[in-house]
This record gives sequence, C-alpha cells and structure tokens, in this order.
Amino acid sequence: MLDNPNFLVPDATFLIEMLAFVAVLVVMSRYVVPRIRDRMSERQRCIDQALAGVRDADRRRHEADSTAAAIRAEARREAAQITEQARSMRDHLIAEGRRTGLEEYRWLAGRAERDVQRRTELGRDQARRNARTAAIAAARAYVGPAADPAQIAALVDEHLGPPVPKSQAA
Amino acid sequence: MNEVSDTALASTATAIQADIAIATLVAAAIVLALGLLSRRHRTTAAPTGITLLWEMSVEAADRAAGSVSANVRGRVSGTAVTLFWFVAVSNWLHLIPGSPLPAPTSDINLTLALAVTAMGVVHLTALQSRGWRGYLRHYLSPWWLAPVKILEELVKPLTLALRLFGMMFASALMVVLIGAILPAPVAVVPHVLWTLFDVFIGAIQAFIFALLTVLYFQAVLPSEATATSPTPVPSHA
Repeated sequence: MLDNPNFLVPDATFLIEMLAFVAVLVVMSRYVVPRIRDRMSERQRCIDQALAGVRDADRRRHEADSTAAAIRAEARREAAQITEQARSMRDHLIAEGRRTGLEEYRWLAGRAERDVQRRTELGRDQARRNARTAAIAAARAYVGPAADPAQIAALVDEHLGPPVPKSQAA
Repeated sequence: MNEVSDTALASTATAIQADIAIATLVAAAIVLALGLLSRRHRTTAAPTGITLLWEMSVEAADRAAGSVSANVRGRVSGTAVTLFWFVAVSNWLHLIPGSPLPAPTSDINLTLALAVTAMGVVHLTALQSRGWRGYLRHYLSPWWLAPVKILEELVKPLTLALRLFGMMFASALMVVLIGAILPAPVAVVPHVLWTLFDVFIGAIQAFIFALLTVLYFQAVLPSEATATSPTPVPSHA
C-alpha cells in the first residue's frame, strides 16, 4: 500500500471489493442472518415455554402446598375436635359409671338388707315353730298320753303366741 | 509533465492490487464460511463458540435497529451484522500467524467500497420504504437545509471509509515503524503489545462501522411509530 503514491485514490480493486462485499451481503442477508434470527426466536420460544412450564409447575406446587396446609389444618382441627369429643365422652362415661355404680350399690345394699331381714324373720319363725313343737312334745311327755292335744296346743299358744303359718314365714 | 501525470493516474485507476483483492476475497470466504457454519447450528442446543458470537452480533444489531419500522428491520440488522463481521475479519486478517496477506481495510479501496455499498443500501431501503416523494421530502423539508443535507449524505460514506482506513493504515504503519526503528530483539515486545492492541482496535472499528451504518439507516428511515409503508421490504440487500 505504501508503494502506491496516491494511496487515497481508489483504483480498479475498488470494483472487485465492492462486488465481493455485495455478494457476501446478499448471502448473509438472505440465508444466514434470517436463519440465525429464526433460530434465536425459536430458542427464545422454547425458553419461554420452559419458563412457562416452570412457572406453572411452581404455581401448582404452591397450590399443592396450600391444599396440604389446608388439609393439615383441617386434620388438626378434626383431631382436636375428636380429642375433645373423646375427653367429653370419657368424662360422661366416668360420670355415668359412677352414677350406675352408685345406683347398683344402693340397689344391692337394699337387696342385701332385705335379704338379711327376711332370713332373720324366717329364722325367728322357724325358731318359734321349733320351740312350739318342742313345747307341745314336752307338755305331752309331762301330762302323758291322756292329755288333750287341743288343750296342750292352747296352753303352748297362750305362752308362746299363736303358731306362725308356714306360708307366711316362707 | 502533465501528460506523464495523467498517464500515471490512468494506470493507477485501472491497476488492481492483487494482494488486497486476494485478501478481500479470503476475508469474504472466511465470513461466508463462519456464517454458514453458525447457520447449521441446531435450534435446541445451546450456542457455543463462533455460533454464540454470531447470535450475539445479530441480537445486538436487532436491538440497535429496534427503532426503525419493523418491515425494514431485518435488512438493517442484516447489513449491520455483515458489515461488522466483514470489517472485523478484514481487520484481523493480517494478525493470523503466518498470514502473508495484509489487512484489506488498510487500503482505501475496500473501506470505500464498504462505505459506498452500505450507504447505497441505506438509500435504497429509504427509497423503498418511503417512496420517491417521501424520500425527497425528507431532504427538502425545510428546503433551505437541502444543500446541507445532500452534502451530509455525500460526506457520510467518505467519513466512514476514511475513519476505518485511517485507523487500519496507521496500525499497519505502526508495525512497519516498530520493525524499522527498534532492533529485532527489542522490537518483539512492542510488536506483541501492538498486535494485541490491533485486535482490540479491529473489533472496535468494525463495531463503529456497523453502528454508524445503523444510525444512518435510522436517520433516513421512518421510525416504528411513524411507519406508513404497508409493504415489507425484503431483508436481502
């Protein structure tokens, strides 16, 4: 280039270089740059889709987290409710058991008392009957065979009271 | 004397600098190869290496051309991307180890060819986008500024070409001066440093050339908000 004294004056090389550049410009503008731009747009679309998918997955995860939190809260609430019901039922059962036990105890105590009273009466009646029989037998033995059974019985009844009927005693 | 000068000028005008022409064709082949290589990349795969650089340049050009109307944006960014890579590869061509080729941008022919072509595409696109009336109205309103605007349009390719040529010519001159002034063992370090700086300068100049072209597009094309042309302009030049 320094060999040319007029290096600021273009020569015929200018035409060759212009043609070369125009050829490159046509090929680049028609076949290369649009293809690269389309590819970038396509990749951007893919990235946007992937990002949308990620955002959607994130949104669904948040929803699932919210649902899980709601379910946990509901479960806790139900568990607390069940615990409270169980505690209430336990208290009720304890109170009911106490009441039933007390009633049963009273009933059993009354029944035992009545039984003791009845057995006491039975024993006393039986003792009275035995005493009368023994008294009649002793009176017969003392008076002899000629004694009137009716008079003996009346005598015994006079001292020991009238005989207790067996059915009444039972 | 004048006859000799005229003959010398005529012979200069018809001369072809073989090394510059070959370097330009090699740069064109490299740009085409790189572009077609990056074109083959699969859509779904992450871009790497040269494909990533191409995609970055296309994205940057699209962003820079964002204010022009959508129907010509493809052509604007396509031209800017092509200019950037062509100028960058031309600037770096002489830096390839063992390369016998000079940087073709250190010659006025290539820089002028690039600038004239770029401005030609700018005005062709403006004509297609605005129509003849709109194109002329752009320069004639107000009418008294028309000479300045026309002069500005004539100067634009010259400034584009001379800026790039001046930088790359000075860069080549520096390499020659470093070799001429300093003894060989001492010249290695400045030469390496200057070569690294040259890589940087080459990229910056390519970026400036492409960016200015986009700005020239924006100056003559209707913006996105005021676009009225219903027919899209094809993206190829």
